[in-house]
This record gives sequence, C-alpha cells and structure tokens, in this order.
Amino acid sequence: MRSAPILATAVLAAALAASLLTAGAAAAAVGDARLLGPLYVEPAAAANAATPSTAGGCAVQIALTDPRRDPQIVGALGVAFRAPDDRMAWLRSVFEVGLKARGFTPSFAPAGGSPDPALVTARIRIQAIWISALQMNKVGSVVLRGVLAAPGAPPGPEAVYRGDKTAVNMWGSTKEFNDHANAVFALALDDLAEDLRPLCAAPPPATAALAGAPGR
Amino acid sequence: MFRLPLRGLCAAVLVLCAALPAQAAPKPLKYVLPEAARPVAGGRSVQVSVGQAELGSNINSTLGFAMVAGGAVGVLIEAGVGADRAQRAQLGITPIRRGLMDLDADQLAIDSTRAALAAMPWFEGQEPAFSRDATLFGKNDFLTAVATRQAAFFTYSYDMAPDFSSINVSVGIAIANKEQARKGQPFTRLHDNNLVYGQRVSSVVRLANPTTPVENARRWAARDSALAKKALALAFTRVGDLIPRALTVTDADVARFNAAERRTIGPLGGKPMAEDPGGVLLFNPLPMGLVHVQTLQE
Repeated sequence: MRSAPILATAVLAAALAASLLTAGAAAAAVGDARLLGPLYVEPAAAANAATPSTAGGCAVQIALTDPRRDPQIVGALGVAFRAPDDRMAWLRSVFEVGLKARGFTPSFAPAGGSPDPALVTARIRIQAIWISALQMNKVGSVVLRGVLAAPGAPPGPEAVYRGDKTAVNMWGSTKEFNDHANAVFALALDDLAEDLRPLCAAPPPATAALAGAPGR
Repeated sequence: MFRLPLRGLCAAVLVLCAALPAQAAPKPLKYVLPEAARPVAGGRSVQVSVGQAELGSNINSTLGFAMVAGGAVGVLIEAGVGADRAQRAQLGITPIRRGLMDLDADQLAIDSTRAALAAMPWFEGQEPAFSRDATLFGKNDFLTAVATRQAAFFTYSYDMAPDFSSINVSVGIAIANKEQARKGQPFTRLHDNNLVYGQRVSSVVRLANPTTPVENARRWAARDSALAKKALALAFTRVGDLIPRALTVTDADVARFNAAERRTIGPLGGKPMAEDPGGVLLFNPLPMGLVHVQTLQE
C-alpha cells in the first residue's frame, strides 16, 4: 500500500515543480503573519494520538508568567507565527485544558498574586516557544520552568519541562503548525503532570501535623 | 508509519526553483557602502532581530543531490532521511540548550549592535529596537513605521554546526530606504536589488580537535554548557567588531581580497582578509560574506 501514495506524491511534486515560480511569487505577496491558537487543543482529541494518563490528579493552582522578549512572535515559516492577541488566555488554556486531560483540576492564581498554599501549586515561567521549519521538517520546542509545591510544603527546586518534536512538514499550513505547537505543549505537560502526581499524593498539611502530634 | 510529505517537498522544490534564476543572473551585490553614502541626513533607525528562541540546530542536506540522482522519488527518500537527521540534531542540542537557559542571547545581540554603532558615529544609528520577527514582512512593518529616511537591520542567528564542531553567530546587515523607488509591494524595498547595502558577517568558534558529533555535543554541554556560553560570548563580541569593518570595506579592499589565495579552515573557505593569533577573517561573496574563524581555548 505504500507505493501508491509515494508515487502519487512524486508525480504531484514533479508537476508542481514545473509551475513553482509563479506559485512562489504569489505566496511571497501574502505578507500577513500566521496566527496560532486561539486556544490549546489537546492532541489526544485528534485521531491517532495517545490519551494521556489521568490517574493520581488533584486540584492544582498555577501562577503563570511569561517574561519572554517580544512574546507575541512564537515562530516563523517565511512569515511570523504570532500568538493570539489574548496571548495569556492562550497560554492559560494550555494548562487548563492540558492538565484537565491529565486528571488534574487546574485553577490560576490572581495576576501578580501567589497561589493558594492549601493546594498543590505550580509557579510556571514560560522560557521559550518556537515553531519553525528546518529544511523539509517542522520543528517545535516549548520550554517551561516550574517550581512546584505540595499543599502547605515549601517549594521544591526549579525544574525544566521541555517539549521538542520534529516531523516532516507535510502541508505547511497554519493548522498543521498549530497542531505541532499543541503537540510540543502536550509533551511538556506530560512531564509536568508526572512531577505533580506525587505532590497530590502527599498528605495534606493538617493530617501531617496531626500525624506528628503527641498522643496519636 | 510512512507519512506523505507532500507540502514539505513542494516547498523545498519551490525554494530550489526560486533560487535557480538568481544563480543564473546574479544581481549586483551592494556590499560596498560608498563613502559618499555613509552619512545620511537624520540618521538611521536600527532594528535588531533574532528569529529564534534558543540555540539553533543544523543538519546537512543532500536534497540537491537527491533531486538530481533520484528525481521525485529521491526527494521523498531525502525527506525521510532529513527528518531523521533533524530528530538527532534536536536530541544532541537539548542538553546544550538546557545549560544556556539563563544566557540572554537577545541581549548579546543588542549589545553587539550597540558596540558596533558606537564604533562608527558616522553611521548615526539610533538606539536599536528589538524584534523576534526576523522575516521580510516584520522588517517591512518596521521600515514603514520609522521616521528616518533609512533603516538599518541587523538580523542575528546563532546555531550549531551539523556535526557540533562549532558554534556560529551570524548577522545579516541591510540598509534600506524608506521611500519606495520602484513599483511593487512595499516589502520589495527590502529585496536585495533594492537595498542601499547588504552584507553578512559571521563568527565561527570551533572546538579544539573536534571528533564525533555525539562527543562534540557532550563537550559543549559539559559543566552547564560552559564552553557553549564562552563560545557564544566570544562570537557575539566578534560580530560586533566586524560590523563596522564590513560597512567600511571599499572597492579597492574587495579587489585586494579577491586577488589573494583562497584559504580553507575545516569546512570553511574564503579569501583571507586578516589573520592574528585570535583567528582568521575570510572574505566570501554573499551569502557567506565575512567569516571569522577561531578555535576555542578550553
């Protein structure tokens, strides 16, 4: 079954190659940036993607910051890939939708405020988001820096959650690259969820205090 | 599962086809800024752009060979091979990137540009504005918005050689007129043939005695990417030094460089412009431009 699509592709590629100069000029005239989003979509919702584990989740409060320079630009393929105008809503949706899909109940600390220490908390700093092409491949990387804490416990050391993915650039469409962005976010979320689960299992502070109290 | 790389292939073929006429009939490259054109009334707006968020990876491509030798089927095979190479390049670079997380390469680019502008007061460059959008269209927006007659664009990239033997920092320098002299879309002001000036300067910092890509990557990543940090700091400083040099090259200099015997250092070659214990400066026609090569002392 493989040979048919390969040949079809090859024939079509050859046919397109014959008329590429005009196609190229027309494409170059379209100068608008491509807009990603508007919100994160869990790749598992699409066909052929593995469903993430939902075991061991709990309520998590997130304090999200994005100190990147020129943060609206998140990649390029001839023209820039731009984050949606409401970039923070897009980024919040990554954690809202993504952690929910992994069995957590996420909420957000008020802007500039601290997360509720009675819950599992995650202070997340966006380090990098970049979606682009490397020759015939689409490449994407997301880097999150996180400081997590169990309820009532002091924050742990900073951890880095990366999502990196390389795949053949099939169509070059905005949707394809948006899906790629979602996929790299999902990889970073998988690692974040792995680190959050043990914190959900930690005894709540009151129970811990009681357990250590005299007479018990 | 084999995936149909149709659009990627078409895009690659498109790029190659678009490049062919340029090779067949090269436009005059304005990499000499005549002395009379150096000062400009009102000075120049300056944009620094860095179109990447982290240290870039690179892969060798044999696409051209695949197209010639294997035709469309060859291109398909190359797509699969290229995807595998890209995946391996990503794996190799990730530990290096981890150590570089607190290195602000954008700031290094801004600082290099500021140093270059300070060294050439005749340029009358304004305080650089930073942009992550290094595309033609992003630059066009900047050019449309500026109040000066000309704008200078310093477009930085920093990446690893495909075999991890060197770290490369490169800056494309372009000076464009705000006024549109010819008919066409506004972004054509930034096409090579419409630029007042265009040149590229690069600094290549090589590992001493590089070996395999895996071992080279391990050396860059060791001790929290200490060598990579050192190389990037050196390379950004070097391109800052080279910018004024590139902008003051004369026709006589170009004739002198071209008359010299070609030198080859590793995979790089060119006409030597200068040499000292710190490295060799090579002159090449664009797209390579001025390339400084040095070996990192560990």
